[in-house]
Amino acid sequence: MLLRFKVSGFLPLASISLVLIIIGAAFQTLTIVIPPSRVLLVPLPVFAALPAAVLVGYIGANEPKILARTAVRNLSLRRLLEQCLATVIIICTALLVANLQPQGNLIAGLRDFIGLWGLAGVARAIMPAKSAWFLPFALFATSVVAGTNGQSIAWWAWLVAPNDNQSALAAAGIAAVIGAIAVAADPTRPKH
Amino acid sequence: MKIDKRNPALAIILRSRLRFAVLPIALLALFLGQQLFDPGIPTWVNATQAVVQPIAVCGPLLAAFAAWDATDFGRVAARKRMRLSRNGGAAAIASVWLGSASWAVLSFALWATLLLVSQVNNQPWGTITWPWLVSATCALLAQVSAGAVLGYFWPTFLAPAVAAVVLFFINGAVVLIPLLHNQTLLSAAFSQVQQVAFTINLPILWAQALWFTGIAIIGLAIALGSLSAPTKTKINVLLTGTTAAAAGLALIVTSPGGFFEYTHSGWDYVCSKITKICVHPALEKAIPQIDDALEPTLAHIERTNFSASRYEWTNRGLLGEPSSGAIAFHLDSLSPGWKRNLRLELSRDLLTAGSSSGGPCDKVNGDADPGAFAGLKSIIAAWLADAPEAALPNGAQEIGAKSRFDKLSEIDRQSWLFAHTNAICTSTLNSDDF
Repeated sequence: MLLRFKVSGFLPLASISLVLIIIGAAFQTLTIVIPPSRVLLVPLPVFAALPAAVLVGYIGANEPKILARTAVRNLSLRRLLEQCLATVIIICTALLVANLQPQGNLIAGLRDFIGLWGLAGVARAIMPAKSAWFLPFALFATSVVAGTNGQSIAWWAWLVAPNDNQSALAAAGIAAVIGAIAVAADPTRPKH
Repeated sequence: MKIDKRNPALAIILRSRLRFAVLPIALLALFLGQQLFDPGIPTWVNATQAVVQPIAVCGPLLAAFAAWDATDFGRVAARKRMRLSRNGGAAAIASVWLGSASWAVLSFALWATLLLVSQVNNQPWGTITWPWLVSATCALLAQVSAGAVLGYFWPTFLAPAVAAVVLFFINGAVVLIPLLHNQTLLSAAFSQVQQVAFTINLPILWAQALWFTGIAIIGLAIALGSLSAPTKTKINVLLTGTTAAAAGLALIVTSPGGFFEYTHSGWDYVCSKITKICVHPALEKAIPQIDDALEPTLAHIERTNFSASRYEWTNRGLLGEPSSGAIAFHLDSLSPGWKRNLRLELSRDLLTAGSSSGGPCDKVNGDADPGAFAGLKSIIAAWLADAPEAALPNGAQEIGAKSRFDKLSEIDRQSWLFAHTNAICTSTLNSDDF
C-alpha cells in the first residue's frame, strides 16, 4: 500500500494541496478585487482551490505505463480512490480549521476545489496525462479575467460565483461526477 | 522527442507541442475577446483591447506548453549530444526557445487577425493601436521565455502546470499590488478599457515592449547559462536582455503620464442637426438612437431653466465638463438597457449639485455623488427619465408628495421645476413643496 502511494505521488501531492487549502481556510475572509471591473471579488480560498485541485488531479498521473499494462488490479479505480481519499482529507481538514463553521468564502473555495478536481479528471481523459491542469486553469483564468460584465457573473463563470449560488454548486457537482467517471474509466489506459 | 540529425533545429521547432495548442488557445482568445467589444460603439481602440486582453489567460497557457517542450529538451538523451558541442548547445536551446516563441506568436497572430477582421464591417472609429499589439507580442514572448526556462531547469511532469499557474498569479499580483508608478504596465496581464475621450500614450507602449523584450532575452540567457556555449555569447545575451529590461522599466516608471494622455485633443464633436445633440465621432452612427433615447427627458426639461442650447457627450470624471451653455451626458456602451440608464444618469446629474452637468445645479456646492439617489429628488429624476420605478420616496410623507406630483400636468410639473430649482440643487426640498 505504501509503495503504491509512493508510485502515485499521493503523499507529496496531497500534502501540498492540503497546505494550500488550509491557507485558504485560515485566511478565508481575504478577498481580492479584480480590476478593471472592480465588481468581481474573488476570495482567497477560491485562488487556493486551483493549484490544490490540479495537484490532486495529478495523483497517479505520472505512473510508468508498464504498471498499467502489467497490474493485476484495476489501477484506474485505485487512482480514483486515492484522489477521492485526498479530496475527503483536504475538505475535512479545511472544515476543522474553520471550526466546523465554514463561512461563505470557504464554501466557495471548497465548491471550486471539487469542481476543478472534476475538470482535471476530464482533462486527463481527453488529453495527455500531464495536461490535467489545462481545463481547470483555462476555466479559472477565463472566469477571473472575463467572468463578469461589470454587473453580473456570466453563466459559465461558476468558479467566481457567490457561495450561495445554487447553479454554481450544481455545476461543480456535475463536473466532479463527470471527472470521477473519467478517472475511473481512463480511456487513455493502454490495452493489454 | 526524437531529433532529426540532418536539421535538428528545424526538427525541434516543427515538433514543438505548442503546435497542438495554437488553435485551441486562439479559440479561447476569440471567446475572451468577443466579450470585450462595446456593443454599438465600434472603435479600433476597443478592437485592439479585445486582441490584447486575452493574453492574461492565453499567455500563461502558451508558456505552459513552452515549459513542456523545454522539459523534454531538459531530459532526453539528445540534449546531451547537442549540449556537449560548443555551438550546438546554444543552437539547440535557441531552437527550443524559438520553436515555442514561433508557435505562440502564430497563435496570437491568428486570434488578432480574426478579431480585427471581424470588426472591419462595423467601420470602427480611429486607428489600430499598433504599438499596443507590438508590446502584447513582446509580453507573450516574455511569458513563453519564462515557461521555457522553468521547464528546462525543472524538467518534471509538474513544470507545465506550475508555469501556467505561477505566471498567471505573478501577472495578477503585479496588477493588483501597486508599489511603483505605472506598475500595472509591467504586467503581461495589463489591460485597459477604452476611453474614447483620451489619446493613448504611445511612447509608454514602446517602453512596455522594451521591458517585455528584455525579460524574454533574459530568459534565453538563463537557459544558455547551463550550456557549454561560448562565455562571450552568454554574457552578450544577458547584457542585452538586462539593458533592454532596465531601460523599459525606467521609462515606464519615470513616465509622468499613464496609458492615456489626458488631453482633450484628437477629435471634434459630431452634432445632430435637429436635436442639438453633440457626440464623440465614435458615437456618430448612434446619433439617431441617442436622439430617440434622450427625447423624453429633453421634452420634460423644455421651457425650464434645466434646458440648454446644446447637449454634449462628455467623459465621466476627467474632461467631463461640457462647453459653456451646454449640458453634459455620458454614454460608453449601447448594451441592453442603455437608453433608460442614459436618461436616468442625465436626470440625476442635472439635479445634483456640483456634478459638472452644465445645468443650474452645477454652480451650487454640494455632494456630487448621485450614486445613492433616493428620497424626494428621486421622484423628479424618475419623471425626467421616464423611469417611474426609479422613484424611491422614503416614508409616508414622501409617498404622499409623490402622489401629489404624479397628479400634476406636464406643464404644471415644468413650472414646479422652474420654481423649485434652488431647493432641488441645495437638497432642501421637503414634502410640503410638492
